[in-house]
Amino acid sequence: MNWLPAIGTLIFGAILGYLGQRSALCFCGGIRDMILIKDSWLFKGLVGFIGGALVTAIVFSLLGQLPTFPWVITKGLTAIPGDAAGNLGLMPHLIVTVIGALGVGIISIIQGGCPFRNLVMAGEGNKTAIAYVFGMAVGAVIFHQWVLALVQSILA
Amino acid sequence: MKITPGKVGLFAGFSAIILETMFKVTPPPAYGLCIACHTRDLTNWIVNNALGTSLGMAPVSKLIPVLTVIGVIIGALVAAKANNDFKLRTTHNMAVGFTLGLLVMNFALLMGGCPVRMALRTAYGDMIALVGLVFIAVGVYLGTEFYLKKA
Repeated sequence: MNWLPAIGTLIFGAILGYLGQRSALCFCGGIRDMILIKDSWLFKGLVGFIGGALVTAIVFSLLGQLPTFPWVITKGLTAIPGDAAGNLGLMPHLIVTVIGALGVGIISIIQGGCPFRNLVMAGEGNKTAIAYVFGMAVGAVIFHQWVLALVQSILA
Repeated sequence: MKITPGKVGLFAGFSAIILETMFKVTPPPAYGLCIACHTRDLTNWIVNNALGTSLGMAPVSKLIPVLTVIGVIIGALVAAKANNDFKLRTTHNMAVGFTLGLLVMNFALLMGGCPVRMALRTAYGDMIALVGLVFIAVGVYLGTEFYLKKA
């Protein structure tokens, strides 16, 4: 059954990509519009996402299908991805979360959208977004090759 | 029916949980939908298989990686082609875009997911993810103050 996650994410990804292109869904863009022009059109995507996930998670946990919900903060966080992630305390997780979130927020504004929006724009033929997606791929390798070990050695 | 961001967000939140339960896109928890992590899984899987390295990834992707990224690009491509939105263009310098993608991936993996997964983790009751969402908003505010309004 190893192929199930791959098939499932491919199908749902395609549907989401289609809907994302039609609606221009972007979480960072939603926050930006709220701040800049007090427009909640895109922001409703973020609210809807959290609401939809919350209601669905409650239903599935009542059905006994979601043993990990609600996920409490003291249990197995993976804020730092990798095998040694569980060994760190709460404070390091908060620090990396704040640093990462600030970075993602600022870069998303400069680039013009969060990673999801840029994937959709790559599909629309935006060459900058295609370069961005390749940059993400290279960044992942760099993170796991060098940055993760560096961060862990600083926090440990 | 008009496709609005609110409705798509609702559907995405619903489908993220469905992916986790029906298609077992877990561990870790709240992993149903994440652009940064799923890109990482796919890339590291390819690099690991091509070069024999052992870069880290979620256990769900060890044998066959999750393909959300491919799906989203195909879906967006189909939507753009079907509605005559497809056009090759650049918004700004491609080298800058590449560098920003590289940086955003490092920051995203540092906090443990892209904005989508932070929202999903928040829905799961993870207060650290809520802190992350708040600071994404702070970052967006700083970005608009020092980049958009000056530009």
